[in-house]
Amino acid sequence: MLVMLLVGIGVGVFGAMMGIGGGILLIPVMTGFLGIPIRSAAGISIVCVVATSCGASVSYLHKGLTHSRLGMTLETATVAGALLGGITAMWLNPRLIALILGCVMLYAFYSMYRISGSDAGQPTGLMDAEYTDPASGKKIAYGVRRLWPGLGLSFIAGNISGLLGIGGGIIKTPVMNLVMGVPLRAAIATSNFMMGITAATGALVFLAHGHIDPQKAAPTALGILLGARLGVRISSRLKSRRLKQMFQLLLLVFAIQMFIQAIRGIK
Amino acid sequence: MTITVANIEAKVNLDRILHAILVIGMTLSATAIGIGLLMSLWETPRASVAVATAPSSAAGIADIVNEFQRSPLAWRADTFLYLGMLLLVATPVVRVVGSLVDFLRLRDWRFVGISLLVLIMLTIGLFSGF
Repeated sequence: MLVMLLVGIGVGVFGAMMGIGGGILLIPVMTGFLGIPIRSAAGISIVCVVATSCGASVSYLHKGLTHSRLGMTLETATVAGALLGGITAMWLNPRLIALILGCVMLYAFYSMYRISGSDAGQPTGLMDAEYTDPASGKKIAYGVRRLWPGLGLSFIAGNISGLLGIGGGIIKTPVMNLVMGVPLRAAIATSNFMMGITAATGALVFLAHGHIDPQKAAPTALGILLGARLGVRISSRLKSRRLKQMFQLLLLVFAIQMFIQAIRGIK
Repeated sequence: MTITVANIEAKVNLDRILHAILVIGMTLSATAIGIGLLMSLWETPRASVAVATAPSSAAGIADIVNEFQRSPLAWRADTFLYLGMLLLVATPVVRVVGSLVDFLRLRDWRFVGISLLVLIMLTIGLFSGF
């Protein structure tokens, strides 16, 4: 349990900093290093994504970074996608799940080269909002572009979330920043906000089938609740470029691990 | 929706409500999990809860319900851990209900519809496990 708690703290810190639930890191650790079967790991992960969302959103809402209305709008698509993914996960081969996760990680690795790290934004007349950047102290006003493509991609993010037991933030954050024109910090905060309800949908399905072991899920979730609060504080101070480089390396390592598991087979 | 004083005030008010719900949910969940972890330090270890492998068994929810029907003083560490997880998963759902109430107060019917749609899909997700 102590190991799961410490793993949770680490994942919570990174997850909150990057707008992801941490499941994309948690599952390879659980399957590769702790020997937990991938279907169980997916169930534990989805509960922990809820923890990351709650822990990070508390701080981001307090700082005014979260675009809650945009998040709720995109939630309709992600929840629908998660619903479909959570049900089909009961029937898919674990090696196929590992293969899909590896591909998602490679996509995330590539997409992080495209994220500019810029926090510039422009009001568009659609869901305009503003926040005070914690690093510079400047007021940033922005609006939303390409809402329908954003909804479509959010549906895919939700489907991957329910299927793989991750929050989908690894797709939602770049979608909001690159496609919809939301500044990076607001995209991270809003992604954290959204993934809670997306993950809760999948968690309820896993829970109903008895696929979540509380002796492993609960301490990990507690660690994430603690780590996520710390992660938000660190992200306000850290240069995003350095953090992005570290995270890209982690994604590459774990993507390779997932492909190995998909080829060799998973217990 | 353009940036106006009224919109900013509505956003700040909504954020306060959501923040309060998340803090309460997190605190209750962490407390239950913390109690479960402390109890597990002196409790006689037992095998990890058997994880159902058969789809559509519906054993998960039935087992949890049986656990909670006993007196809280008789609860084992696992029961508190289950409770903590349930409270955690319920928090985002309560968050949606909280925003629905605020949108009803503001008569923002578009977002009332959005919140209701999310709640309906959540309910479908819950009952799809049975």
